Amino acid sequence: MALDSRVPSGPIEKKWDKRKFDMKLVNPANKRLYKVIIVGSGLAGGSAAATLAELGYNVHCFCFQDSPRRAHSIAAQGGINAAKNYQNDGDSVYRLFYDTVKGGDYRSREANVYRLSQVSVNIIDQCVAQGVPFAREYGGHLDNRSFGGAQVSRTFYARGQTGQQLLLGAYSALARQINTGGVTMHTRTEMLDLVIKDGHAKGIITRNLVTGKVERHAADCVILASGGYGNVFYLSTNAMGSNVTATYRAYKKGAAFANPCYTQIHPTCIPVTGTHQSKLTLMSESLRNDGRVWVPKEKADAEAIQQGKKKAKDIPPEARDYYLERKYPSFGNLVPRDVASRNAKMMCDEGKGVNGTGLAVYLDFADAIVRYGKAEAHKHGLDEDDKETVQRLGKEVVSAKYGNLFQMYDKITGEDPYEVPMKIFPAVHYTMGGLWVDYDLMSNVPGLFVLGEANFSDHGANRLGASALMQGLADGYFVIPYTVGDYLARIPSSERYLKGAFSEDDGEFTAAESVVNERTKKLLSIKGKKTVDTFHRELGHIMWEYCGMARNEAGLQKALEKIPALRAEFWENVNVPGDGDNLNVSLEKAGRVADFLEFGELMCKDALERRESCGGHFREESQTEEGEAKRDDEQFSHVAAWMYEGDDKAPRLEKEPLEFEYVKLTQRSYK
Amino acid sequence: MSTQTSFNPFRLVLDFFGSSIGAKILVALTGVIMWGFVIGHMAGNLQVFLPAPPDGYWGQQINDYGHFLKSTPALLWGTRITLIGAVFLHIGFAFRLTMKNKAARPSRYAMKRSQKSTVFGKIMPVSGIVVGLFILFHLFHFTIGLPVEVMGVSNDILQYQDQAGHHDVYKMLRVSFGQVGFVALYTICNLLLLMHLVHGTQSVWQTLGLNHKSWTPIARTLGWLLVAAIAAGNLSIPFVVMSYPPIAP
Amino acid sequence: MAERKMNLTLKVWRQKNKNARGDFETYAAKDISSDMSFLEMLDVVNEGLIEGGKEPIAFDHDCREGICGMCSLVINGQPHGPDDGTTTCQLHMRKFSDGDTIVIEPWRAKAFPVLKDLVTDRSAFDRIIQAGGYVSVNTGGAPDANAVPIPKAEADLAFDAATCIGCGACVAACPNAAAMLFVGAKVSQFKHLPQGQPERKSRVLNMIGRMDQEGFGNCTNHYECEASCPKEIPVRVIAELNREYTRAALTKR
Repeated sequence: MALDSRVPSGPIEKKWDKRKFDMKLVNPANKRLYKVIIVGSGLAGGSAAATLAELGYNVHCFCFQDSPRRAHSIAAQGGINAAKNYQNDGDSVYRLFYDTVKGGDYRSREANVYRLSQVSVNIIDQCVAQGVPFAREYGGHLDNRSFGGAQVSRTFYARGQTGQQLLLGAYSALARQINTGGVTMHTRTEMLDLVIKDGHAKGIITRNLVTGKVERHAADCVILASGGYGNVFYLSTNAMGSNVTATYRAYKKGAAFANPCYTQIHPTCIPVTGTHQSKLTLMSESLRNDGRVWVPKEKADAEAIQQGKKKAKDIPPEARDYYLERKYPSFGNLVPRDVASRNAKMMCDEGKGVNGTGLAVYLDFADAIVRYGKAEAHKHGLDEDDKETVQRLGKEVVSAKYGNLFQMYDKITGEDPYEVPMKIFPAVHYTMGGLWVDYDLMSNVPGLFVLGEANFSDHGANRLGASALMQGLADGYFVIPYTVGDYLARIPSSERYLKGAFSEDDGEFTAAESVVNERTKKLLSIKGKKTVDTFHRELGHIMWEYCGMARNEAGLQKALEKIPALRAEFWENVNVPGDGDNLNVSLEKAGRVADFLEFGELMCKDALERRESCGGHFREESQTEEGEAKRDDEQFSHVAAWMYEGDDKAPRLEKEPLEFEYVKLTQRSYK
Repeated sequence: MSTQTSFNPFRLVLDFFGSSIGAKILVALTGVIMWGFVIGHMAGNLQVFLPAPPDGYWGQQINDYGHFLKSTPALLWGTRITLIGAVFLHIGFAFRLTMKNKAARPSRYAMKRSQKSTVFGKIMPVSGIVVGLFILFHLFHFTIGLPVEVMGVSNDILQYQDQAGHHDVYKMLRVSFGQVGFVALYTICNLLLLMHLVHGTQSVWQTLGLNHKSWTPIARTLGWLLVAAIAAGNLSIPFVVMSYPPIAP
Repeated sequence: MAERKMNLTLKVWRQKNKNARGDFETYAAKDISSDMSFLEMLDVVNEGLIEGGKEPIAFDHDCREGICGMCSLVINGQPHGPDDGTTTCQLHMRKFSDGDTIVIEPWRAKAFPVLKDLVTDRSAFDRIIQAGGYVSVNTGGAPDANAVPIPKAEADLAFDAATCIGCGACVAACPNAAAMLFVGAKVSQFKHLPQGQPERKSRVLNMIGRMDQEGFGNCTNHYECEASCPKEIPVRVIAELNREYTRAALTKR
């Protein structure tokens, strides 16, 4: 079965208008007669639920957290892009489109990205109307800042909490619809399977995480907005509960999983301190504007630091290697995320890491403090050679720019970054891969729509900063309300759920429920020796080692041997205490980790199959002489979509070719 | 959502005071009324220290003031009715809120460390009850007449008359505060009243919705000064009077 | 700061479900690193419990970076523990010393019933927001974002209130289990924005109506909420709430 992206014909700037006009519409009075299920309540799911209910659909929304406001979109710091050109610096829909395709290393679908850029401007209007307190200038107008991968200032922000403010905006719109009865909210409820009836997605099986009750929910269509799968690495910047279960279950029911190997590793995170570590914390990319990244030139110095015999200040300037500035003189510390991450890893691989684990590099603000301090002293007519004055003034400037981040770093590490350099290391942050969707955001399973990070659609092999929030809200507010309508309008009246055409008692539902119950029973009955977290940690080690920042054939092959073995051991030896009919945290985790143990294998397969480097996917076999990522457009200019064929069969690979009519393919260079 | 079509001020006010915030504001407003009374009451009583007028006698000024009040029933009863109303509303609504607040936490913490609350705030219900009982006693003592003799003082003190035939308030005070027990009782109860007032002055602006970055600290300082002034004024009466030579009942 | 190892005694509230009677149980937390977060320390204890065939301590948490508002815990009598402006997930063990006894309780309030161990049901907060904590604007048709300028000072005041993460520490800390800081934060956010004006009265009336109905207490000006708030939301928002409510209640039609 070939995957049809159903991209409308015509010039790129007219495609979305054309598609919208060609859509079938549901009569406003009839919308309440359609039931829609939405899984996830983050930016994509929350905005979709609110908007569809505003239109009149009968919406049921599910989240595993205790409130829809807690979805992990809330943790996004930096901002949201939009082609408003408020700064008059030459931005346009076309430029945002171009930057996004290029930033994605030419592995995304042009038509989708163009639409994303088009609706980006509506998002900002909508959020402001909801009362989102974006940063403003003294004149009362919206402020912008610049972000990685762009030469214009198009990022709207709300201090370092943009994701929070946008999510609370969507949450408030959702709350309003819950109040009117348009949305029925199911909190602390996890989707455990998708139900397909006559080839169409018609419902889900859920578990109430408090009572343990397994329930069947039928509807006219199912929308998944369940986020990314970064937690397959165990340690990531994702929330503890973030998981792949919803999308992976859909994959097992026939939905294609696209580009699972595309993972974004963010260069500036707080390093791991020990085996107890449960999660990694991101420090905003903006720090690289003023911080200088370095490691000692000599391995001996690094080893002394690792053993606690030396400190950063004991390394004189001439013994420091500011490797990003050395290797990329024109971009310096501001190279894109993937490049910065890979270089940090290379330094640590050479034994030059600067903490006890040897997995950290310095991000040093000492020079910035002196530079700002001198400028301030000059401005105020003070002595530029007085060290104390310069330090004091410089720290004030740095505090005004990054105060909250410095405080957060101090809280977590117990070190004062004004006095000693920060230690940072790359960490898994975002997954560009996801369920395959067409232009309408519908998967290859009719009636199954996928939004936000859960789909694969807009970021190619690498996502630009401040684009995740844009995509989530674009999908939820401005794309799905149209495209779902088109799908629903084509369902004959006699086949609708609320007309009694089918119900939760049908065979497909009872069968899916019993599979879920069997699995729960199995997990609870093993009562082995190892905890769920132990397995998860081991899987994370394998994934990070062989399918992390740099991948090669031998390593991936090894991972493909290790993961099934670990999975087999899991099903023999996992210990899930308690029972299934109440709140059981271990059971929740066990189900998620069981899916990660299968999904990790799929990721490695995809990474193995893609014998090129592109964006976040770095294959050591495919690099330039200088060690940079080298694409192979001849062979790999396609979306790799994996189809489930059965537990004991290898998945089938379908390819959606990518054609670039508007953007010129070039090799990225940051020298 | 309100579907009311016609404007009904009684309904509005009742609804408002029926809500938790309305109830709180009523407590605050009645508190302010009683504040006013505490100040006026103290100002009146401080006349005990006024020297004898030319050709008059010691204590005459406060006795004349007492007579003035009694012979101006509109003022006297106006004040009394307002106060009785304020006291009942204050106690009633404070009681209701306290009960609601207690009910909001049915199971207590095994360990609770407070960070900002003060002893004044914490003992509000206790200080309120003690002050209420004290006011009752005070009324029996100096206005209605004690039903039984307390520390050698009986309802006879209400019968004292001065040279002008007015009630001799001055003598009544000297007899009462000649007793160390009364001084102690009035001191303790006044201290609790002051503690009650401290939290009141520090809270009233916040409750009435007036919180300002610069003005609030000033208002709070003024609150402290007011409490200090009342402490000095109210407590000076029993102590100074006690220091006078004893007087025969 | 150099890593320290410590041994601790935990007194943890265990409660099987909503209707069960709870009680404290004592656990030893051995060999805890000062670099661990508080929740990672609990993870270690839980691993030990599971290995011993017992059920782990249930507690709410998700983002573990201080923004989702899901973590809770009253630690030694203080919501989110002894550190200022910090959620439990950001609290680190270096704030404790070897040999310490740590008492861990759930949020306690009638409106936040315990579901299990340290997990409470905070959906009352959601219902308060549902009663009016929004601007009624449908998707689409919003005017250009720069059409209405908002003075920076007002936008900043709105933002300060909007940083609320809805964790419920204010309720947990309040001697009256009042939700005034939470409601005040939302009312204050919209009060300072032009978009909030059309529903200014109905919003505060409906939210307070719901708040009273949910069984929260009310403010008696102890300001424990402000001291415990991980986002350091000021009690100024409670004064604003009192004023907004009075104004709305006495002038509604």
